[in-house]
Amino acid sequence: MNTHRIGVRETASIGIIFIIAKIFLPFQRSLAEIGGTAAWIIALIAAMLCPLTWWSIRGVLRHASGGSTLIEATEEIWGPWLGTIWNLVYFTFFFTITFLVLREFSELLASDILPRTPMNIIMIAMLIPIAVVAYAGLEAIGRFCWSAAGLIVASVVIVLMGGLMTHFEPDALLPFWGTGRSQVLSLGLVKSSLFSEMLVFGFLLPRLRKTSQWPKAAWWCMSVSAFTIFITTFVYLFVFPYPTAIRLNVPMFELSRLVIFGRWIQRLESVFLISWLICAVVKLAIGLYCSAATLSQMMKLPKVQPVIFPLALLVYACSILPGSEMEAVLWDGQYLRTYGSLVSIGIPMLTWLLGMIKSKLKGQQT
Amino acid sequence: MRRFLRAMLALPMVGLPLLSGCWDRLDPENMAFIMAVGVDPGPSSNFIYTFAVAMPKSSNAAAGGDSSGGSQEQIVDVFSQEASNLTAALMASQSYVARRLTLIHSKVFVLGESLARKGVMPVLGEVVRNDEFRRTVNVITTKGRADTFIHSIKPTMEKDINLWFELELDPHNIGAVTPHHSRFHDFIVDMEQPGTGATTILSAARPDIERGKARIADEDSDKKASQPIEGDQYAGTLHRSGETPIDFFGSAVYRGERMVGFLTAYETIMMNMLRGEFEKTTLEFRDPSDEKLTLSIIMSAQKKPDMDIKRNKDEIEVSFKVRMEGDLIGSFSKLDYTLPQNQKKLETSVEEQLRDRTSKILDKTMHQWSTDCFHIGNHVRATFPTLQDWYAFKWRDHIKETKYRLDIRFQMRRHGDQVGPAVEGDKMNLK
Repeated sequence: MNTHRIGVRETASIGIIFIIAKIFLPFQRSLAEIGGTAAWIIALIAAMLCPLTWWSIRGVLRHASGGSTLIEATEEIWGPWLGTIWNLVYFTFFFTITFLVLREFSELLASDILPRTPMNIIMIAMLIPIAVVAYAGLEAIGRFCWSAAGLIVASVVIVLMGGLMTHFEPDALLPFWGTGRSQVLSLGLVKSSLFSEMLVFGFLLPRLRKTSQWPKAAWWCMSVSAFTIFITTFVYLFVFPYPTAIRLNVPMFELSRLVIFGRWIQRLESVFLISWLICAVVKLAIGLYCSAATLSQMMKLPKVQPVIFPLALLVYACSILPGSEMEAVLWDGQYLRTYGSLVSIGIPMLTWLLGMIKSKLKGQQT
Repeated sequence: MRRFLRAMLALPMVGLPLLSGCWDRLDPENMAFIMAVGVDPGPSSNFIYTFAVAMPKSSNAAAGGDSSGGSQEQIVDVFSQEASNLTAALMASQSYVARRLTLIHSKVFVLGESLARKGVMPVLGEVVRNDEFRRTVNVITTKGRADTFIHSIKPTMEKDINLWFELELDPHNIGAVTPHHSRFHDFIVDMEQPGTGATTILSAARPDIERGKARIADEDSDKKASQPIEGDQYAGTLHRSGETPIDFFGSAVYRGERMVGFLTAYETIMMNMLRGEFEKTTLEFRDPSDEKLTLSIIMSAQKKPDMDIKRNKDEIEVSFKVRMEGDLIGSFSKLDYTLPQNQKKLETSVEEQLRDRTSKILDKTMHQWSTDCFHIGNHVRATFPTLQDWYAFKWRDHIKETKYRLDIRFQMRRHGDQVGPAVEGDKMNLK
């Protein structure tokens, strides 16, 4: 296995981009659909729950032999059979994220930016750089993410400010409980899967030089991504108040199209699109890398690279499975963002628990 | 050899993304930029779409246009197409327009009066889905037909159609006599809110001016008549001659998807004031020293108005606290308004007139038309715990019974470049 080390900044940046890339997809609309004017509360609850993934991953890694990734640690704790089953779930999770996000981003490009370009050409045009970046490995991805994260977050902040200055609806967040208190609170728990991508830390943490660097990287990642996810939902509701908020295809893109400061500053979406596409490519590359790493570690392969290109082909094949854009978004919302936290919180938590029990039993025996 | 193989592999990787340009290339030479779209009801439950396309510079010269700026220069190409929706109209029009029609640079969406009175939601619902159509496009409701409006786009001074629209649709530029925001986004957001009255710029084509038949009445023999206030007019009724045969003056008010009436320029300014969107502008008032005379004040808002809502079950009371200030810029009065006692008299009179005018517009829109142009509903909504409760309340049904209070204050800050009135030498009286 390639065991090049990465720093705290690279680790945090990979996590941030992997988590926040969904802000360029219809996720704010999905939150508005279920929470109405209280969509921001759902995002807030989800953000407050994201440390659970971090604590469980840390717990799992601490109860395995040093330098193990989440995949290796899961197998070590659960044993080869059950461990492989859980790892297969992890693989399915990373792989599903990759092909669904590829499809959703391609649909975005096809519907708003490149309406005449065939869909498969857009997908292939995205898939090739994704595979190349994933092939370059985690170290290269980390460096690239570190240089791109600032640009992406800055572009988001500028668009949000521009949107607010163009249209600001007073009292847009009221009624406070939106579609109802119990619904908002329960959906806040379900939508903790918005941060399921935190699972990538299962691969990143073992690459850090010292275990003392783990919390720093994790908390930086959680703070920045929680802020970004929350603030985009929050501002979206002010610029596109309910019920308009539930009718837009790609909220952030529409927000960027709305920005207008007189004659000279308008039509800014093409400027921001560059950084957003970088974000999409990097997210997909991380997803592809994680899928490949999970698979190679399950198969005990010494390297990740041989799996990258075959998997990329598989990603392409699966991304055309949804019959339409709506179906792809539906799969994302109804499956990935509903049951995602079972994978990102549930399995690591169970593994951690088992690891603790096993450690205690081992301690008693000795 | 290995390097060569790598380079050969890299070539399609680099080249493939660029291929997307082959399908979606935008060559301005081949494009027809639609600047304005007008919609009128059609003969068979469909619509008549009228397009104003920016005239390409080369075609303009070929059409006999005078590049030196002659008056015959055609700056837009206008055509109409009957169709059931905008996309179908564009598709059909493309058969006889050589260049590729595109909405990406469109500036205005014009709704004809009869369509506006029938209901505009079918048209808006279709247009908002179009990926070329931007939510920043301005919406205009025109008196009469939209195609007449589009055919009247004949600016005399400005030869750049894009600049002409930008300037004419900027409330700051045209004296704030239209709603502060009349963008498609604001229009449809208001329309989608229960009870909220969407507003657009009110416009009217002036064929009389185009034909040179507009006449301004000669000197009136009735010396006792009061001076009219210019702002108390609608688009289409301005006493003028010459220049572009289109008026942008006042606003059109909607109840739900249907237009219910027009507001004069003055009423529009009052509406902007209560909405907290007041743009510095000149307002005319009756002179307190002589009601027949008018005086002009450059008015600005001291701060955004406060809107306070009190809800007791179904009873709603809204209070507006407005703080304005201004500079006296035009006065016929012989009274010196710079003197403290006269200044106070003027301030009190302006406050009364503002209160009277805002009260009239609140009565007209809320109590007469049952529509909320002031976004009071947004604040009322805040008093409900959930959206279900808010929608069950049915704000529209309560608009008529809503009570209001007005607390308007005005302070005179400056008095232009002269202290006291100008007085004829013979009438000068030194005490």
